[in-house]
Amino acid sequence: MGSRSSHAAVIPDVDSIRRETGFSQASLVRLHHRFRALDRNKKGYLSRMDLQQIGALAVNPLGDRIIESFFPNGSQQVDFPGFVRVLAHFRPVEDEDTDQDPKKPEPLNSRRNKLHYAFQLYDLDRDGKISRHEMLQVLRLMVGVQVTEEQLENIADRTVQEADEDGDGAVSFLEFAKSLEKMDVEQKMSIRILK
Amino acid sequence: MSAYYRNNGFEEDPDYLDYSRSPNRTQGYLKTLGPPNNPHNPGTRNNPYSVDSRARPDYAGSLAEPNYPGSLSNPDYSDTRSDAYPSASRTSPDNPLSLPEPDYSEFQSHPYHQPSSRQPDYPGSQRNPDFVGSSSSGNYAGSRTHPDYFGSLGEPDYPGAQSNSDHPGPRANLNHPGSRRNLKHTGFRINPYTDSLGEPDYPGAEIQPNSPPFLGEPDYPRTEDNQNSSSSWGEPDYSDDENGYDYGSSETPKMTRGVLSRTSSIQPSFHHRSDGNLWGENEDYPERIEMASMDLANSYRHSLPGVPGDGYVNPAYVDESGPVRAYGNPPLSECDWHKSPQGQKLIASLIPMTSRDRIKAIRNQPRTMEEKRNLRKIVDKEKSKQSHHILQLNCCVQCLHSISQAYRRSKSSLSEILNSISLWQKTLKIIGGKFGTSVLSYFNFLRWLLKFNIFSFVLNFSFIIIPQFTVAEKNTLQFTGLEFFTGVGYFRDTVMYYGFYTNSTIQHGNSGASYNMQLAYIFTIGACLTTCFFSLLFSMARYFRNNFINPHIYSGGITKLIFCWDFTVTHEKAVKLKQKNLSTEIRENLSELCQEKAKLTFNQQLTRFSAYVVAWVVSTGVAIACCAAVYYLAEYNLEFLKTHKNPGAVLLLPFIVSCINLAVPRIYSMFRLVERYEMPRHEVYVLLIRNIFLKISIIGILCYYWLNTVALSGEECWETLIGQEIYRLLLMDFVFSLADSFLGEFLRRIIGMRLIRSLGVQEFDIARNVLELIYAQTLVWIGIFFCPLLPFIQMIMLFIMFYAKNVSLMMNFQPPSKAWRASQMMTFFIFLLFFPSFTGVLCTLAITIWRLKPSADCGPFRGLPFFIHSIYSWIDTLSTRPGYLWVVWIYRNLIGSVHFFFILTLIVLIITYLYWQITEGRKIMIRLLHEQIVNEGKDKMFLIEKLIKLQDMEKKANSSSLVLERREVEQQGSLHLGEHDGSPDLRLRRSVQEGNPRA
Repeated sequence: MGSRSSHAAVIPDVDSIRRETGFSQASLVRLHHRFRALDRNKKGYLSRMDLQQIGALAVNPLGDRIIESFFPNGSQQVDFPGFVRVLAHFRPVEDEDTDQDPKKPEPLNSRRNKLHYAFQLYDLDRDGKISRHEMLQVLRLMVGVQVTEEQLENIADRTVQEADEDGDGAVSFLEFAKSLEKMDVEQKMSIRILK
Repeated sequence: MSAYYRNNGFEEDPDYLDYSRSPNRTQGYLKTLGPPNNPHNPGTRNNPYSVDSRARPDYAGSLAEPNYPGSLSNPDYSDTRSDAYPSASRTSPDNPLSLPEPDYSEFQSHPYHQPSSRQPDYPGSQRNPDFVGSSSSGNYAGSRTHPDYFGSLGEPDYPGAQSNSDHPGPRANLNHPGSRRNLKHTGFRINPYTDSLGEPDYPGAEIQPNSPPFLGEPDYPRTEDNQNSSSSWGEPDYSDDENGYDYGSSETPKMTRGVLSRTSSIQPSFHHRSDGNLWGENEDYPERIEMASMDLANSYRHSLPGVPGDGYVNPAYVDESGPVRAYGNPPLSECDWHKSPQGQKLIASLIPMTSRDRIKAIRNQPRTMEEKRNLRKIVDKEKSKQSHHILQLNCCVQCLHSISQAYRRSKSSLSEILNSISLWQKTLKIIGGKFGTSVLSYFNFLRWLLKFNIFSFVLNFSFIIIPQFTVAEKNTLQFTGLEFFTGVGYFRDTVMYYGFYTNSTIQHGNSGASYNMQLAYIFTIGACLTTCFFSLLFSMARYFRNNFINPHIYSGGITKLIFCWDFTVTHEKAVKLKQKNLSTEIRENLSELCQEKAKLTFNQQLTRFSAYVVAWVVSTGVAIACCAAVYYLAEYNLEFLKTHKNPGAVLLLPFIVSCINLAVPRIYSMFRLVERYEMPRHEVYVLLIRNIFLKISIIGILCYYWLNTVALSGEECWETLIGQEIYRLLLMDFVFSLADSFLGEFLRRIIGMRLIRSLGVQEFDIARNVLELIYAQTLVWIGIFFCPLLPFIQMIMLFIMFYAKNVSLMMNFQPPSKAWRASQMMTFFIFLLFFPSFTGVLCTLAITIWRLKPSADCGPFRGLPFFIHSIYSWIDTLSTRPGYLWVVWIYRNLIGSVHFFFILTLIVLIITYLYWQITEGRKIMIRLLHEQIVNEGKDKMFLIEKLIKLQDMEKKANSSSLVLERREVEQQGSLHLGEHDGSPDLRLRRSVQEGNPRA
């Protein structure tokens, strides 16, 4: 692990990771390189602090949420497979992905999985629903300071009201997916570097 | 031998299982049939056309299955045929089954049975000495192999295939020893075709023709198609045997001349039939797959005509007449592509198509532009040769086609030219890319106005100014340079102003045609304004129509806004901008919500309402005060100028007006601090309305002053005075705009960036800038009567303005945070230009022409009581000439008649009312349809959910049939999801295809 060579052989379980995430060998090598660069103390995993160095994430108003998504189940560290797994959600959809064997599980960068990932960013308590409170928190992050609290509350109410179909006062994943039915989620949740 | 054939049969099977290896089929065929060919070649070639004609009846006969036996008894047929045919007829029962897709797949699943059934026939026929000796087999092989290769060889993608095409003769020979390695060789060549065969849409029949045992069969679907398609093509040539006969005997020679003296050309008519057919099918086909993949369609097109078409067709006719074979034909050089057999074949197949289909087909060829062009030329030539034989009706159709083609071509080339000469294309793209469509709409508007002015200038120049030049007197006035600003002095006696134009009838030489300057003047200006009117009207209508179809109205976008963060944005500035955008949109959305709720307290409402009232009163008051100031200043100015001799003094009034125009809008925009509109859009509209009110009322008061004071003051040449005044106003406005762009905006940037950082970099104020343009254009329209050269001046000004604004924009501004809807803005701008501005101009000019007395000593209308009297006297003159009485009639009964206008107005009102009602109805319809869409979406989600549940249940219940179930679920799901995405649909089909054999 300590070696500086950028060879695929260094990555543990490279094949299983590739199969799961759909990344190419080259991008895995690159990601692994990045992973080690972020891992400042050569401890073999990344902590929240490490991830906060990423400039693009620091800028993103939802950056904290994204960082949080690297640490499921309350763990404090993320190893390379976990790291890649999260990033795989942002892999652009390619043409060859479309003719997949139907038996295989959906790739992580499918529309549905992308949506699900986005949904998780909003769903703080992981109860499968975006409540009004959660919505308000996200809104605060996304809009910044230019809108008053009152307006934000209004808009959160309005959003829940618009998306909520079963009347439980919260947005479930299905409702979430439906409200984004015609949006180019594939485009907006793809980062070009991640081939 | 039998083992050998078994192998053969076996080789065919994989075709059905796996299309990638389908070419084997051909190979197998070659192997067996290739050899007999050679001996026959020399003899058969001599007489190729008789074969053709003979083939025809056979073909026709094969349209229906029962005919088959009958055809067997046909004396024309060779003995060998009877051998071959039974085999065909024996297999045929299977075939109809295999035509529809599901059956076909079933057929796939039992690949081994069928071959075995065929095999016996085959060896039999082969062993039969007659058969071998007969040309039929020779033909068969020849026709089969050749077209196949050629068809597929045409594909540049398959280099291996190309090399083969060079040596068709030897190839066949080589093959027949049974060399299996060739199989692979051919294999990849035909792949594209096989791929496409995998498509379930494709009738199974297409595939079968290739397989030897089915020789007879494929005819059914095929020939039926033939008839259908022939009727649809409008090509009677191929529709029935009779024609076919003629064709074979008489036409073909001609064809050959043109088409080729080579192998596949032998039966041009035949090819037409089969290939054309296929192509016809292709036409539909690609459309269906288009979504899926273009490549597929392409490869399909090219390989198909060659492969199944000839492959299957030939057997039918070959059986009897085999000799045709051009088997040993020398290979062609690839350099001249369209002369090669496959090229010829392609050409032949293209000829019977309608021109539209043909163009489409040619366009889809994977060739260079040059080759395509050549191809089209050749096909057209062929077509024209044929046309002698085509019915009169077809001639008309052809004619129409060629006309429409020519029209299309000229249209496209015209638009190309227009595009290439259209101004500032690149700059506009840059602006659009950097600042978005809203800022771009300003520049588009500017360019649009420029076009207007160019047009007006050209009209004025050619019909007023040039004639005036021919009779111009020498200008004796002194030129100092200050005239550029004041417009007086030297310019007074130039073509620039009304006063310079002569009232005489211009006539050069005694016999030359006369040119009445009075009429020319009034008609040119009239034509200019009329054109402006209609083009404004039409563009306004177009924009309104486009805006009416606005899907955003019906979709609640708030969730989309919030749920869909763009994760691709990583740059800090871009994120800030996006946040700002988001907050603006959220506020807009909110204020829309608040409108419904209106939960303000009474006190708050009162305060807000009073704030609005105060703001409106103040703004209107300011506008009125400005108008009054301008009016009194103008009146005073008149007196003042009489006593004052400094030539620069005339600039006072324009200077004041421009100052007002510069300062007051800025005061207006400060009102928003008091008013606090919740919707940014409202704020913008209010600002726009106030500004336009100010500008138009200033122009209005100036018009009043000109028409009421200047025109009646008894000045020597009041029209020229007004022209000069307008010129000065326009120029001053231009100078102010320039100064504003370079100084004001620059300073503002310095202040914003260095001194008061909280202000930030300013945003480009589209509304204010557009209003400036509208103001200037209004002045130009009013002035065009008094100063015909004004469009030219405005043209130059706009040109400079474009660059000035562009530079200023790039240096001093940041993209606007307000999400303007560019299309709506453009509509609004044009509406403003039309309504207060242009209609106001029309009123002013109408008053001038109908009510005012032209000055007595200058201008084209000197001495008349009113301007319009020039028309009256013209009509009077015309009424004395019998040849022009219709003009007089039109004038008296239509233009001059009150009754006509009364009736016209009534009709227009009725039509308007009807259309209004229709529009209302459509609105309701649209709403209903939208609701329906929403409901369908709900249904879809519901069904998908249910299917997913079902799927899960099935998974648990029966793990063994998992694959099948899942496929079914997917299939159903795709029906619903297919609307959104074409590709899963395709994938699904493919998976179904692949899956079926397994099942």
